[in-house]
Amino acid sequence: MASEAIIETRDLSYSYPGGISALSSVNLEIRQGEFVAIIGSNGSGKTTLVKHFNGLLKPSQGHVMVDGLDTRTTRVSELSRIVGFVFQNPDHQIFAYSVWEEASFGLKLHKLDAETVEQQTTEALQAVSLDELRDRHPRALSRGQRQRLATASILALRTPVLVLDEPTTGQDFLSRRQIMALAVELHADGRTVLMVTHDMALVAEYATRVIVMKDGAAVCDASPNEVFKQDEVLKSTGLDLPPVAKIARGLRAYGFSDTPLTQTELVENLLTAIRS
Amino acid sequence: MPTIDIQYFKEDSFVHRLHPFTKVLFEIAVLVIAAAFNEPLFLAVVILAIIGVASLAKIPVRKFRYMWVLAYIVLFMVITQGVWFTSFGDFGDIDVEFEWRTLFHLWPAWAPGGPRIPVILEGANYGFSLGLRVVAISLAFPILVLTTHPSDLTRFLSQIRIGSWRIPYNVIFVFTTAFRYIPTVSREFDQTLDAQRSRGVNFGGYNPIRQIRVVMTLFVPVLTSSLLSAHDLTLALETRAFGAPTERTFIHEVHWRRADWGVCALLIIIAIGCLILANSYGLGVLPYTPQRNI
Ligand SMILES: Nc1ncnc2c1ncn2[C@@H]1O[C@H](COP(=O)(O)OP(=O)(O)OP(=O)(O)O)[C@@H](O)[C@H]1O
Ligand SMILES: [Mg+2]
Repeated sequence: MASEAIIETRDLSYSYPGGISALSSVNLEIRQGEFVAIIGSNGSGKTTLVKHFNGLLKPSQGHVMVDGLDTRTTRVSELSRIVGFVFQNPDHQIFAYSVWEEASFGLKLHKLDAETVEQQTTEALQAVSLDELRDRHPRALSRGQRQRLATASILALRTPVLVLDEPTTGQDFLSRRQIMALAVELHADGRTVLMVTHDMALVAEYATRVIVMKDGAAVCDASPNEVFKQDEVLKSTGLDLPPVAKIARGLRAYGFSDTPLTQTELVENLLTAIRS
Repeated sequence: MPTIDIQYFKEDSFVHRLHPFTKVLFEIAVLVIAAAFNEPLFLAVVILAIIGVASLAKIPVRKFRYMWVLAYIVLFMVITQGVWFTSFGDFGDIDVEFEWRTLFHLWPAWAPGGPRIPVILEGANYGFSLGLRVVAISLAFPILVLTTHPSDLTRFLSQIRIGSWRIPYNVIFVFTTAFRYIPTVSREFDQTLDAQRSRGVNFGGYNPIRQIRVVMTLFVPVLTSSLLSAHDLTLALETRAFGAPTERTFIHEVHWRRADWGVCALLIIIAIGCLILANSYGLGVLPYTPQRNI
C-alpha cells in the first residue's frame, strides 16, 4: 500500500493571471503514508504548489492527479473529501457562533448523519484539546486556539491526505509541539501529511521526505538526511540547516561525518565517535 | 488572482492622465445618463460607451471578471419586475387599448391550479433596464478607482474649496481609506473563499436557502477581519498624531491639462443632451414607465 501514489503532478506549470510564473515543470509523486515537508524561501512557490493538491488552483500546463482524479475536471468540494487543507490564518474560515458549530460545519456539508457528525467532531476537538470549549464563541478563543479549531474542522473530515500550510508560524513553542505531535499522530495513523514550513528543526525531526522549492521548481526531493547533506542546495535557496545538523557540520573538521536529525541522534553518534 | 480586483494600476493611458475631477465628473455623467433612460437599447449603448472608455484606459478584461455577479442581479430584476410590475398602478398616459402581454407563467399550466403568477413582458423589459443601469454604474465606477492614484484623489478632494469652506480632512481620510482598503478586503475575500472551498463549501449551487448559508461563511470572516483591522488602524492613527492642526502638504501634484477642459465640456454636453432627449422628447424612455408621485 505504501507505494501507491495518492498525489501526482506531471509537468505542472502555473502562472498567476498577469503572467507571474510561479511553478515550472514540477514532477512529483506523493505516496500514501508519507510525511512530506515542503521547504523553500518566501515566494518560492510552496503555497502555489499545495493549492494544486485540492484543486484550488488548476495547472496552466500539465496535470495534477489526486487519488486518480484529474484536478482540472474535479470540483474542489469533491477533492475536499480526499485532501484536507489547513490554512495559515484561521480567521479566514471561522464564521460560526460556537466552537462545535465551526468544527462540524464541513461534515454537515458532506451530508453525514447526526451521529457520525457528533462523533467525528468530538474526536477532532479532542485531538486539539478544545473539547471542553465546544460551546464557546470562536472569537473568545486565543489566536493559537483558533488555529487549532481551524485544524479540528479539517480533521473532522477524516481525509486521507492532510495539507498544512505553515501551521506553526506565529505559534508559541507549546502549540508548535502540539500541532507537530498531532501531525505525527495522524501520520502514524496511516494518513499522508504534507507540511509547508520554515521550521527546519521540525522538518529534521519528523519528515520522511523533504521537497525543496526554489523559484517555482522542485530542486531537491529526498530524505531529510540526504537533503541536509547538500548544504550548497540549501544555501542557494536561502535556507538554514537545523541546529543539530549545524553542530554536526561544525564537527566535520574533527572527522565527524554524520548528518544527525535529532538531538538524541547527535548525542549517540558523538558518543560512539568519541568511544571508538 | 483576486476575485474583486479594483485597485489602482499604473499605466500610461489617456484616462490615467486625466485630472481626478474629470473622472469624478465622468462618474456623475454616467449616473445622470443611466438615470435618464430606461429603454434597454439606450442603456446598452451607454454600456458600450463605458466599455469604450475602459479600453481607452487599457484596463485588462480580467479586472471586470467579477461582473458575472451582475448577471444574477439582472435576472432578479427581470423576474421580480415581470411578476409585480402591473401592481405599480400609475403608469402615466398610456393609450387606453394598451394591453400587458404575458410572457409565461411561473406556476405553469400543467401544474395543479395553474397557470398562475404571470410574468409580464413589459415588466420584464423594465426590470431588464433597471438591471442594465446597475451594470452601467458598476462598470463605470471601477474606472475612476483603477486609473487614479489614491493619493491624487486625496489631493484633489483637499483642494476643493467653496468660499473659505473646504472638506474636512477627516472626511477625506475616511473616503480615501475606503479606496485604500479595497485591495485588502478583496484579498481577505479570496483567502476566505479558498478556505471555505477547501472544506467542501460549494459556491454557486442552485438551492437559494443553502446559498444564503454559504454566503454567510464568506461574509462573517471578511467583515470580522475588516472591523478588526479598522480598529488597528485607529490605534495606528492616534500614535501618529492624526488630527494635529497643521496644513497638509503633498508629494504628488496633479495637473489640470487642456484635455481635461475638453473632456469635461464633452461630458456636460452629452449628459445635458441625454436629459433633454429623455425628458422633452421621451426618447429612450419606455412608454409604460411607472410614475412616482412622492
Ligand atoms: N495571488 C497571486 N497573484 C499573483 N502572484 C502571486 C499570487 N500569489 C503568489 N504569487 C506569486 O507567486 C510566487 C510564489 O508564491 P507562493 O505564495 O506560492 O510562495 P510561497 O513559497 O508560499 O511563499 P511564502 O513562504 O511567503 O508563503 C511569488 O512570486 C508570488 O509573488
Ligand atoms: Mg506560502
